[in-house]
Amino acid sequence: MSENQIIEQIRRGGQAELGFVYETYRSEFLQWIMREYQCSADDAKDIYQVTILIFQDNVKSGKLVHMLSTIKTYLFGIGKNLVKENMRKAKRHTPINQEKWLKEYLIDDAETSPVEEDVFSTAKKALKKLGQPCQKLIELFYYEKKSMEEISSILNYKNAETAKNQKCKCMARLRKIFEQEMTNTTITTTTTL
Amino acid sequence: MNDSTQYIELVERYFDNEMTDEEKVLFIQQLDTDKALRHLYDREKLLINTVRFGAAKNHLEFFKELEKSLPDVTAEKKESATWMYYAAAAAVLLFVVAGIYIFGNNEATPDELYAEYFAPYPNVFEPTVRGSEEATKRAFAFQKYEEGEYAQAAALFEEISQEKKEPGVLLLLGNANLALGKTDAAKNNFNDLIQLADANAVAARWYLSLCYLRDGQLEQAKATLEAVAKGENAYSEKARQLLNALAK
Repeated sequence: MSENQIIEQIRRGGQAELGFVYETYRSEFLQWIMREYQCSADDAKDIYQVTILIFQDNVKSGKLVHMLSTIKTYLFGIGKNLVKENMRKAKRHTPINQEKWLKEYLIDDAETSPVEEDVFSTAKKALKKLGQPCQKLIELFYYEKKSMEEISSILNYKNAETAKNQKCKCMARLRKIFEQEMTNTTITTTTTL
Repeated sequence: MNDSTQYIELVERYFDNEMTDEEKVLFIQQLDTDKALRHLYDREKLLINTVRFGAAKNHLEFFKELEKSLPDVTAEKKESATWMYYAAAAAVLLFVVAGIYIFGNNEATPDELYAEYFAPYPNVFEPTVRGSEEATKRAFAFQKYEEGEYAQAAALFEEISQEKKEPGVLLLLGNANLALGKTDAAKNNFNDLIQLADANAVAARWYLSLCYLRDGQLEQAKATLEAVAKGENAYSEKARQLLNALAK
């Protein structure tokens, strides 16, 4: 299987291919990170896992369609930028906080000011309350970037139109739960004060 | 239809990439001046990104599970004069330790080596979604595998494989059979997977070698391990270590 075929499979949600990429470049990447930045094997693994996530996200979001270099060079490039960015923020080398990093990468952006922690916690709570299969449906659509045809097949809906209607209903429910949770949080805060 | 409903539809169409380029430009312009629309846009973006955050976190969990089955990596030292000194000292120490090990008749048996090297491959293919209400045979099979209920998982994976031979299912079915001691069935599963020439073929060879090891078929185990050790892959280092252990 060529590298471009592997990328195409990952774009389609191929977990085996993602695991293959993870395993293939792991040893060399970890050795390199540990040597270059004098960090422990556990810290290096944390960096590698985030690197693979960014790689997967770039493939899924269409930022990476065809490899101009090799997957290995691409991963090492992401890793290098990641460590530099982490060092820039912390002013020295510190272990990467995966969850904090994920929030900054996926939730906060340059366009707006960072999302407040309590608002983000409320959104997470609302998502948890949404339950299945809604959670899975919107995850397939917004994270896995699956088409409505693919989603209808995975979740056994009649057709793409039904999947689309379900997705709209699920999002409407999520908004409603979120607003309720926000109100509850405000009431609790006011009462406490 | 009120303003809010219209706005929500607009926001949905934007995030679902259903707008034309012209519509997008107008929408972004309107965001700068319309506070109500901006509020709904920010909320939608937060909710979608929270969904993405949750999914990404699940992926991190899969990587951590995968890590458990992979060999440890130790840091390479930078070359220097002191490195040469330590290398020489280490070589002497290794020689002494190896001497004690060899002459002390402490060789591990195939059973002990199998127990040391066998770790079931993690379910990275269709991880169970916590709290999922899905009750399909397929989801149940993966769930049972994750719980270490290999007998139930193997029976279900076997049924799924009758319909279609899928690489991920074959790899986990082989692992479940191997964990249950059904080495003949496991060998068939891994050989089927090798035939598919999938990205999981290396893992299949590694586990096939462990089937031979468990059955005491050491020559077949070594031949299979040599094939794994040849390339640079996630199992090559472990295969070399096991080959060395078997050579004693």
